[in-house]
Amino acid sequence: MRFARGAKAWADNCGRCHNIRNPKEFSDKNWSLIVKHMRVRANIDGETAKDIEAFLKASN
Amino acid sequence: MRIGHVVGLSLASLWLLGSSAAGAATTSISDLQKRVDALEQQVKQAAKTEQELEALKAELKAAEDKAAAAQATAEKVAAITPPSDDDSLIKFHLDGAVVADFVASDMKGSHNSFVAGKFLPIFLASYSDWLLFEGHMEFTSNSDGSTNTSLEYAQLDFLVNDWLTVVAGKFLSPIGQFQQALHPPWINKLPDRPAGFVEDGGDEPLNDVGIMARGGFPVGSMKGTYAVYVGNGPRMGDMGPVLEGFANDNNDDKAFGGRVSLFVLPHLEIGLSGMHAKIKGMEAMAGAVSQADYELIGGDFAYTRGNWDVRGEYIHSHLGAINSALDPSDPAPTAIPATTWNNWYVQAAYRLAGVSDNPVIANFEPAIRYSQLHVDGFNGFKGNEESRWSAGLDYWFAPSVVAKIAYENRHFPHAATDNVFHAQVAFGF
Repeated sequence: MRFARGAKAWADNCGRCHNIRNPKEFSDKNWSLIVKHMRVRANIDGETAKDIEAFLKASN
Repeated sequence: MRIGHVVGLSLASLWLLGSSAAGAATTSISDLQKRVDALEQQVKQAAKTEQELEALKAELKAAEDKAAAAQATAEKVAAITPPSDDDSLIKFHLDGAVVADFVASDMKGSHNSFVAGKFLPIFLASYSDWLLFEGHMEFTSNSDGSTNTSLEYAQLDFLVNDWLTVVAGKFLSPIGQFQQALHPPWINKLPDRPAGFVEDGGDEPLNDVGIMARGGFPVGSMKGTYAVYVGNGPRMGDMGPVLEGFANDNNDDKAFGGRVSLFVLPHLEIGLSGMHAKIKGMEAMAGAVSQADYELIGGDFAYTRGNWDVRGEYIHSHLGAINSALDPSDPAPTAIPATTWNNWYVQAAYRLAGVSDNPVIANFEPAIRYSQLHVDGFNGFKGNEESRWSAGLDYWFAPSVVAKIAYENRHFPHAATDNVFHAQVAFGF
């Protein structure tokens, strides 16, 4: 369920400012930091950010 | 089972003897012998089964002993092995972008030129799940061969809960959308900023030093965002207020500002911004300076759906009459009348993946923008007035690797029109 929510949130939120990044561009550790960075910059709520992080880590 | 078979065999024997003694046997000796043989076979089979069961028990015990030994070994190894990077409390990551430009202009006295490349590293560090540091530097080569270094932001983000992050330090201004979200070169659809949304003499605040609260929250089925801050605020410059973060304040009045936005549709964001500050005049060689109110309001929208990216932004700001120098070497302050700035742009971009499956054509993205800065009031602040058409074509090698070309028609009220060809390559990492 979190994976599915994360996939949708990734598509909805990340594309608002820039092209959607390929999950394979970064490792799990890097995504952990980048998602926090984007959470602050794009005002993404914490639960949605966790969903996106889970999706990226499961897809890279 | 074994006892049962022994008892059975005994009863059969007794029955056999009893029958013989009674002399009333109707069954022949050979039949009885067969029965006895069958019973003996059953007893032997039971004994064999019991032996097999004992052997299996022994094997199971050996396997259990091996598993226990392996678990003990694993626990010892885990105890002396350091955690992997992904498990560590403190994590690091280097982010950022690099950009290179070529600009050709028909402005008198200008030369076609490869413009200095920029290196824009972003350093990220987190502690557990509740603290993030973001530091963004900008390294630029100057025309005299030297290197310019600036600090775009250096902020500590305390992730208080799902809906609140408290920021302290130097941060990008949350006013509007271009500065805080779109200005990185691998995100900006065109190689230049909109007219007026510039780093020097622009109308959109760049950054500030202070504290900020920001986050996102649900509003029914919609989503809302907010960012409010208090900071040192702007200072006076030769082109009007300098909307950058200064390391200390030159008066006791802080700047307040922020932005709220609402996603009225999943792909349509509407934002409102505001800011208030008191600006102290720039000191001259002699003479008293005054202080004036500075107010800013703004609105923005972004529609991003499928292959479309359509945006617009408007900022209106006002500075009251003020006595201020325009340069620290001025002998006396200048009496500057109240001045207003009106600054806006609207742009649209479309990725051709929407009309072609060809892998080359699909990576092209034409973009067009109109932007304008208009100033009413003090003539000395009108130098950046401009209206500009920009039309460009991007090619995306990867989601964050882009080559752009653009034509810009720049109309200045107080100078000759300039036609510019601008090419750029950018990589965000």
